[in-house]
Amino acid sequence: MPIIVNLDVMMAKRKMSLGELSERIGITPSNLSILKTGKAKAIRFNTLESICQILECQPADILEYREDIEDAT
Amino acid sequence: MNKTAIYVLSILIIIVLGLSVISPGIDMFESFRLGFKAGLDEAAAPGEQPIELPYTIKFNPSVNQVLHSKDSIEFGSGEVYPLVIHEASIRIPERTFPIWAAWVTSLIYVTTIVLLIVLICKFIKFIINISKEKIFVDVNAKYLKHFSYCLLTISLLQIVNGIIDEAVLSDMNLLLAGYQLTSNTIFPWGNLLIGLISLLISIIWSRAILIKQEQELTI
Repeated sequence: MPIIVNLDVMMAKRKMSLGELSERIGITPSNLSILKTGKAKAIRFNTLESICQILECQPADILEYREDIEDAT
Repeated sequence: MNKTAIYVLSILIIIVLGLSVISPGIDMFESFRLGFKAGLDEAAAPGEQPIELPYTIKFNPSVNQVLHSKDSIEFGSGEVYPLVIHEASIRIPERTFPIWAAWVTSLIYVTTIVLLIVLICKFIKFIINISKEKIFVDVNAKYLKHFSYCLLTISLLQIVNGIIDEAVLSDMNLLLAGYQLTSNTIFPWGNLLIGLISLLISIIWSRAILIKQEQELTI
């Protein structure tokens, strides 16, 4: 998918672990891991909102569109 | 829809499928038995007794041409109605029945029975998965697809069998005044319809699996 999830970058910047972030968002660590590794097919607005609120960032800091990456699905 | 209803419906479907296996099975067994017996008789006393095969044909009487007064049936009340023959099993000499047709028909019977057994197995596996709450999984779509392929192939074989029957009958040149004789062939509308519906359901099932996977991967 040409949409890149830069969640790991933001997490590293804020020095936050996967477990802590998932607990604060209110989703399971495995679901957050799916999102972090780019396996997710979609993201709910309320999940995005929680992530941005906790990591103090904008959606564009987490999601990026790259044309050169082919759709694997 | 609760589980009991699913089980009851599944058992009914399996019974119907089972009966549909038994019916051609009995037909085939009876034909083999008669053929085997005729062969034994021929071996014991060659040429003494002509070998005859049972063959079912349909009489399509034209109402205006029911010729004989004896073609009638009398009810207890004394009322007499014309007796019209629609279907009968006749015994034809073995030499009249082409050997290729006998082979092809036997092959069709055996293939049909094998396909019906495969079809029942696929359906049972499908039901087992459903009962284990494994509903929208790839194998279920595959089982449904195989189920429909089996049923469509059976329909096709039935059509081929009908064509062969008709060809054999026209070769025999049987004539009966007032009647148009045709083979005892029934077009498999039911099987075709169920086969096509299950194929459609399998495609929808595959689509539902994709939607479910997408749903699962929505965070």
